[in-house]
Amino acid sequence: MGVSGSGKSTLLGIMAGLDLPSSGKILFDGQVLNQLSEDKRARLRAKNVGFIFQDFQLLPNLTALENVLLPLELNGIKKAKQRANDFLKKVGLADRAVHYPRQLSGGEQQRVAIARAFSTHPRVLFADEPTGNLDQKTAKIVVDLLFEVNQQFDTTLVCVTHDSTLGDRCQRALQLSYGKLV
Amino acid sequence: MMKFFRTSLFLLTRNWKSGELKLISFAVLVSVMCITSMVFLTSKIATGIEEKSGALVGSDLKLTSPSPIAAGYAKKAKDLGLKTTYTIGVFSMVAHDEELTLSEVKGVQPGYPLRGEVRTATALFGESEVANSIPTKGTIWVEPRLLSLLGADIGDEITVGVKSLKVTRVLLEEPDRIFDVFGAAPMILMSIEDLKTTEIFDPGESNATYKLLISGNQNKIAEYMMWAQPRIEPTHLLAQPKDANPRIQRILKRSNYYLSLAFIVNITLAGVAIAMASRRFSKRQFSTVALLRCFGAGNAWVFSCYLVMLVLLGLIIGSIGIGLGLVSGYVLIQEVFSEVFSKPLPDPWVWPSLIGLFSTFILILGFAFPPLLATRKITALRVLRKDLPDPKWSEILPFALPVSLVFVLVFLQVKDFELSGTLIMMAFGVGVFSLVLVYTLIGLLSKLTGWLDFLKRLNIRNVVRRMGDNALQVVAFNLVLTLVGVLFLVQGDLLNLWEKDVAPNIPNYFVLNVVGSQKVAFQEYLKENDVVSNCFYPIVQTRVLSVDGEKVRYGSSFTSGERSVHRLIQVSSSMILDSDNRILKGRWFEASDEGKPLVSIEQRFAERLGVKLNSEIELYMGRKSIKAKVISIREVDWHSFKPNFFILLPSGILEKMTPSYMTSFYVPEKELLFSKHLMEKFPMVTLLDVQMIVAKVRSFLLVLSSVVEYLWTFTFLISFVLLFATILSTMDERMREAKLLRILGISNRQLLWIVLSEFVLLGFLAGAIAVVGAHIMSYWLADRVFGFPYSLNLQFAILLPVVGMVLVSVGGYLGTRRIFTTPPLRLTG
Repeated sequence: MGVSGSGKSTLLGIMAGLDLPSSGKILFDGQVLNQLSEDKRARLRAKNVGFIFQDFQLLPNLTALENVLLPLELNGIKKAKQRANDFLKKVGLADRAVHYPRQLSGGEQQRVAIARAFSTHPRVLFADEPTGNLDQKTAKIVVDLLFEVNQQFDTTLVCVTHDSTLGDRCQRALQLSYGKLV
Repeated sequence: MMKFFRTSLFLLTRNWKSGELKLISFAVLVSVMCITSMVFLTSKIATGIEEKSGALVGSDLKLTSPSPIAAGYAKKAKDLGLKTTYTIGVFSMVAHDEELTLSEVKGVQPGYPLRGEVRTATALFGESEVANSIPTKGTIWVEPRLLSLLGADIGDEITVGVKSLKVTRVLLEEPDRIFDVFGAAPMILMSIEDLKTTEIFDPGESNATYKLLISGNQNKIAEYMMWAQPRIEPTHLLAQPKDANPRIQRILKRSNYYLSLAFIVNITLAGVAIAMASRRFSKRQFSTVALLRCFGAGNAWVFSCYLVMLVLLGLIIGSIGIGLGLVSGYVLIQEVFSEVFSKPLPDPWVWPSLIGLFSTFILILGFAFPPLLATRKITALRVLRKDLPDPKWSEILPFALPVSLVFVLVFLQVKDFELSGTLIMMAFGVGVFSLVLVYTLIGLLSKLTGWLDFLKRLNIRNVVRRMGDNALQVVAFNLVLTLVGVLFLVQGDLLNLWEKDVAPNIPNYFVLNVVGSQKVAFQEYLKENDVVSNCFYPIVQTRVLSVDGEKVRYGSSFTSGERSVHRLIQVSSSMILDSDNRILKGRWFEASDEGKPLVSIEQRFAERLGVKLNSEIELYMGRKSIKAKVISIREVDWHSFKPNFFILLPSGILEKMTPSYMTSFYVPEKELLFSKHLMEKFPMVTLLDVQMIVAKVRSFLLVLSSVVEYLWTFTFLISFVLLFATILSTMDERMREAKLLRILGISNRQLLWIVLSEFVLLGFLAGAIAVVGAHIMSYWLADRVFGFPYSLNLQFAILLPVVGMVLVSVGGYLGTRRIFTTPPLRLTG
């Protein structure tokens, strides 16, 4: 947790292997992330990591179902379509499967993003300000869903937020200020 | 592997459905369609013209020899399924009553000619009809001129060697002849069997010309040539129709150059259009690629998926393009050229399809793919950091390979290394030059903002900030304007030139041997009949004895024809330099030169004689020799249908040597009896009718002019695609800017000013640079390739920047008009 500019997203990027630290090392499941090549880090992400972003990051040209399907296809998971549909049902969007992101509300888009993130059964899920673009009421619905699915799949959730309500629901909260843990 | 293809297919279908691939697809479709159609059209026209030129010389291939041709040559042709026939030609004196004259006696076999037709009439000035056979035993067909010279008529007997043969028909047209005013003796046509019995030639001596005519499938002809070329003896000459008639050859050569030029222009424009469309597509894929990378897709994997996606797209769109190209080419041929090419010709399906397929892959892999190289530099971090700048990648370097591939493609179709290489390098040079110039100009512009008002400052800052994009846009606009400009300039010159060739009143008759005492009466007769002639040239037969004191030897640099014909050349005099003559060195005669021993000499003749400016040449004319100084070297258009001479003197010398006169004039075709009456009144003159040649040249030019005009349609279509793709390439950024400015309350008028003034500036820059580029390129083409005089087109120089401004700003407005009508929040970049 921390205010804007405290370095939360940078830390999340480094932990997820999306970025590299200027010094030190990042250990993930015993492997030094920053010693791996870009492609090896990508493979590691594909197997173990899921993401949820503040601005949802749904591909505008894909329907809700196709957005969920994308990482499943990339991982070569069998019966991907059925699994994607199941996850959309879990987040309550079974009837919105063929809609494009622009036809969905902010809350619905984030629920699609949650379905997409959990569909590959990641071991760790990184969420960058998952409620940052949502109103309070919608944010609560999305957070409830996030924790419910998280519990169901027993995933490690690393959540970056400046929202204390969300922080309070996590098992452990760390404060960042000017790039340092306090 | 399956996953890989599935993802590529997935990317293809999704991007297709969302319209992201629309522009690339359209550019590929139009380009492949145009290229295929163009190749179809040119292949078909080429076959048609080959067929037609074959008809002009009587065959597709001719083996000429001064001695009997070995049977093996005909056997090989027959083995290849080709048709053959022999002819023997001998120059011999022929007689009727007391009259004697030189004639070209030609013996032919049944089946002659293999291409084209022999036309005859049953009476002098009778109706022309196609002969379906050759003269029967004991009979001959003769040219009207010969009948006049011998005072003979149909039914009379003419003595050729030891035989007397009966004239049964008037020979009006015969395909295997080269038009030469001075060289042609009137012809007698007979069967080869009769010729052998006349004893006018001896197979052991080389006073006869033996020809083996061959015709058939063009590929087999080519195969035969490959076989025969290394085997023929030094005295043999193997020639195709295109080698035979210099006039037609020149037209064909120029039209081939033009078609090649149009092909190069179109493929270059197509390549740039696709690269511009793909650049936009690539930029719009950055976030997708970042997300795919975030989900764990490897760099090479993502890149390969896009490559396969493009190949799949190319296969689908390319096939449709090839299909449409073939159909449109076929329809055009049926609509426009079916009347000109009366005989149905095979449709060239395979070659255009192959070129279409090859160009699809070059366009897709060479031009659509390089912009996607940028996606390799996209990292997964982009999903978190929206502020990351677009990756930097070389915009020029990746195109080095496709430019080389285009070169291969152009070479495959055009088969002219120098033309294709120079033009592509020039186009590339124009691109680099404009890139440097635009960077410099925009850099200068950025220093001028201090004293401008806010809106103008904002505008100039926009231009400066988007320097890279703008420079690329100017290069693209510039290429369109330069290449279309070159095509326009060259086409204008070419059509002007051809127009002169098909002018309705170009001379269709030549008159020789008008004696001095009859000249005035002859001129008056023409005047009475409203016939306007060119000037009357006095002619004296002359021999060049020495050059700068050295005796002239007619060595091997002269062809046998030149040795025999030009040892005695026709020399004339004139004080007026005709439009088909051009002084290369020295000066033309002035009034004060009259009567002085000065000469003007034709360039190639001078080269062969070793004559230079100011050389002194000794001429034997009118039974005396005179020494004359060379004061000019001239270039002569020998195909102008006007009398022309190797050597010209000023007036006042030949006139004292009792010259004969010659001229040319035009008589409307409907005046059928004019020539008959003329010959009756002046029986001693020689009248040459060249109407048939004029008509053939005219029909060729009509086809070629139509083709040239049709090619414009394709060039325009591709140019518009390029223009549009270029405008759209910066559309997203303009949208983002417009969205912000409109939220801040800018009026539509102010926004329009910002958008339009930028496009006007870019269009003007592109047009101004194109004026220079187009003129340099067309100067090179006119001078080195087409061989016509180059003239600076001032109108074009003024118009091109204006056209650039108007086209780019209208296109720019149409391409971006959404930003004026869509509510700001709905504007997405």
